[in-house]
Amino acid sequence: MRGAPQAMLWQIWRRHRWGLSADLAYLATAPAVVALIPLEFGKKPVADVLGLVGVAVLTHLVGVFSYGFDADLVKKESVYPVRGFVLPVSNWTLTWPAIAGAAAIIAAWPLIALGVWRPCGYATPLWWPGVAVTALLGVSQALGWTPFAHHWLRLVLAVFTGGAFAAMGAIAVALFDADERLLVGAFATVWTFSFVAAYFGVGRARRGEPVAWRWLDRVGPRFARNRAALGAFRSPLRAQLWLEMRRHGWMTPIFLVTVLACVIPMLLLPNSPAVPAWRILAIVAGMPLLLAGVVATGFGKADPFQRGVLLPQFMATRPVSCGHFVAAKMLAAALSVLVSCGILLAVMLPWFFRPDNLRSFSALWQGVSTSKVVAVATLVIVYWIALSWRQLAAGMWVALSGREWVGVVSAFGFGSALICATFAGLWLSYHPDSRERLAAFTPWCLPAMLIAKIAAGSCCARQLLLRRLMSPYTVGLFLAVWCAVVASSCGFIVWLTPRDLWTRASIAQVICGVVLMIPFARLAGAPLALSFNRHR
Amino acid sequence: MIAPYDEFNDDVIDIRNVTRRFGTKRALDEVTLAVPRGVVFGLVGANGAGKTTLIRHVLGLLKAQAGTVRVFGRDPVLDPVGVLSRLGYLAEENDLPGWMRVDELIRYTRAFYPGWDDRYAEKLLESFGLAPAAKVKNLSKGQRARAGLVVALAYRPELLVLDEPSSGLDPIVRRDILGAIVRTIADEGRTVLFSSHLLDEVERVSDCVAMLDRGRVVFAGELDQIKQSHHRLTVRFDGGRPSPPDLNGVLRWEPHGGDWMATAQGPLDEFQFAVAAVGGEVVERRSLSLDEIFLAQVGTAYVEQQES
Amino acid sequence: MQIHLSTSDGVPIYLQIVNQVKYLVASGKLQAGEELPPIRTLAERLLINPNTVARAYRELELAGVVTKRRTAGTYVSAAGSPLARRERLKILADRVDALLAEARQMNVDTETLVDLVRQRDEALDATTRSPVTRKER
Repeated sequence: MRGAPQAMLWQIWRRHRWGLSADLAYLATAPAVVALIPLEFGKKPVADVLGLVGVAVLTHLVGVFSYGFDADLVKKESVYPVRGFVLPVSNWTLTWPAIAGAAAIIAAWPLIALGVWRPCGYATPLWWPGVAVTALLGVSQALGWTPFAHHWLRLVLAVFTGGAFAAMGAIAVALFDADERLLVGAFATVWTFSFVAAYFGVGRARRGEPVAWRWLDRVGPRFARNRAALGAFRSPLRAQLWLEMRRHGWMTPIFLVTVLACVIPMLLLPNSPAVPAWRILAIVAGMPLLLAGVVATGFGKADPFQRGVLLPQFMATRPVSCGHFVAAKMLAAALSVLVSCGILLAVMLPWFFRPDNLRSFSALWQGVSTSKVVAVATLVIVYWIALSWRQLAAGMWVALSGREWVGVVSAFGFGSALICATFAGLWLSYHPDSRERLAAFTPWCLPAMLIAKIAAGSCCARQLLLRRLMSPYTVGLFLAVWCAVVASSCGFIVWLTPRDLWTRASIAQVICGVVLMIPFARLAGAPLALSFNRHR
Repeated sequence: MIAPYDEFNDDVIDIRNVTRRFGTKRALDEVTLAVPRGVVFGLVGANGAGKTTLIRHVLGLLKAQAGTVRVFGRDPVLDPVGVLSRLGYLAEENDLPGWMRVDELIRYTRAFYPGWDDRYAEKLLESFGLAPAAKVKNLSKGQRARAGLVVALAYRPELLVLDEPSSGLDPIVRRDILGAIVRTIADEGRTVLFSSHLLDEVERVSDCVAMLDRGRVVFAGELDQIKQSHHRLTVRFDGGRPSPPDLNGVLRWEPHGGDWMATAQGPLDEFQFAVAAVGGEVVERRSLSLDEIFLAQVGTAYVEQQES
Repeated sequence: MQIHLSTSDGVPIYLQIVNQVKYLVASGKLQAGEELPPIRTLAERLLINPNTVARAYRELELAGVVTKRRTAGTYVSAAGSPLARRERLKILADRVDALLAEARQMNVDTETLVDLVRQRDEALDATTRSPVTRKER
């Protein structure tokens, strides 16, 4: 009979046999595909795509061997399957997937590097990326398998280790020129430590002894007592806003502060000539957008930590109209974004006015009048905040609809659009002659998309009125605000572009683009989606 | 006290010909039911009979695929606020937000109901022994049900809807819930709709009862009338009979010594005539508990289904 | 006032209350002029629908066992006592009927049954008389 370690691995194989088969099929066929393609066809685009799939395969292996597919990061409990804990095997045997996973990944990477990347002309390192992914696997196992007493603790630790990982990679590349032996050594050390942590984590999960920060229990009630003394809410909308803020509103700011804690030490360093200041600013300014995008996936749910998208009965039976329910969510998103952007501004302003940074920035706007610079800066900040809000608000309808398939379909649609766009971009970069042909399509494409958008928008507005989800006044107000935003955005763009670029066609294209970019149906559809969810 | 309803009649809940399918399964089949004001209306039936589906229609959580649902004369789907603000709801799978503390739950919920009675809420919390600082998710199942009861009762709703409120709970919590029903109904003009498969509870507190079986209403009416129209009769035939006769209204025959025991529905005298016609005599009559009526009605249906 | 309800034997709840109040009056546990608990109190204590209690009280009033006074409150009527003996006998008659039916099913004839009743009566007398102290305590 097979031994216990084999049985452990067999379980993993059984659970993920299709995915693992796909991985194996990729490893077997990708080098062959690369070898078969004639050189003159251009191997680089193939390597781009197949190589990315290879990275996806490695990520998949990380998920499989850390049991990451069956659980979420925000759970307090260990993600290790509980049935394992009652088997008559030692903790050591239970930690076997860590070794098997590490072996699988270390073996897979050279195959991809030698079979796919190198034949296509990339000087890909042979060992360290594999070891780095192994270290990532080790860290996710250690974090995932250890039980925590507070459900956000794992998230915080994950963000910190993620930051540390990125910093390690950056330092290795920048300071040591990606020395293979050094990197393998560093990541192998990380893996060893996390393996030990994972071993003890399994033990803790088995004993039911979560990692706890007990001092929080002493601090927590002190805040809580004050909360109880707060007075009654003035309106149902305020109560709902309070709920949304407590559930979703603080997520983005907390996320941002955690990430900033990793980033601030880097900001204190003097700038290197390799990384200009404006690029750092752009990366930091992009953070709320990115984090809001991550938080947005849960924003439509009643509770971001809830599994599934079903509206809880308790929420569904509160006497709030779907419109107010969504309004509270949108307001919470706005508050959340304002707080996040405020924090970021407070942190970045001193950095911005540091003499060396100010000098490099002022070089950018030489010859432009101060009033225009201030106006543009203000507008950019306003749009930056508005765009972050859009990140949170525009995707809300997906989860609000309460149907898993809506999420799957929209994610699939988004993903395939992204893949198509990537392919198209690659195609265009390798075939410059086809760019003009594409440009010829623009006058047809844009109006068609515009018509589709107007149709979707008017359909949503009509349904809102028909189902009495919103009063005609509110719908009219929303429409007016939307038109105002579109008009001002167009004006802003036209004001910024030099006069000699203005043609009737270019202005029309700008208007079309702006109308397409600013969500209407996705916002107006949110109450509809909620109504679809609430009254099934 | 309350203005007369603008549509239909004075029934608090008026369900007409409601049909609901989930895939190919008919969860509700042409259900027509009216709940008059001021009664305790018990909804009984086996698991999967459609009780919860019916209640979810009343709450507007399900949209009627055919037929109409009116609560307080309004459509709960078109006017959820108008209906839900006058209604208190507690379900078996009580999904109060676990992250809230009890006092936060109260503070949050009271914002929605102008008629919220702080002193009553306070009294209920105290009598249930609910600590305001406790988190809902750390409460036991019984305490969670009690917390749900507080936020469903504290605004003295005109209609209390309870979906299997006491299944899976200990007897003490069940007492609290029954007590809440009794107290609610004792206030003039309030109505209770509750589903349960604990039939002795239903029999204790209901004025009216409707029995659902596989999406259809088997019977609905006042509990007293239902009980009067069901009998368990001992029938003696001259010289005995190897098999019982086929008589109208008999739900089930069981051999009983040399006699036959019939569970019958309908007027007693008609049945006595019918028995006399086939040479028998009713020697004893006993009324049935709701439990026995339920078994007889649903059990028979089951036998019929097997035969067909 | 102690009332025990059972929903398993099919007797309507209001009838159970009526019978038990009659029994309590007949056995002297409820004296004439004593007040019955208000409808709401009894309903909450027994966990039954107040309408059921109200119906039971109505039936009792019709039977003359209780009277409703205008200042609210239901009292055991003074006319209860002459009725008491008849009620007592009626209650006992029900029990005797049940006993006889059971005896018949077990093939015990009435003579033997009556003898048995006598025997038990003597035995009961003996047990209640001997431990006098228990009674006093």
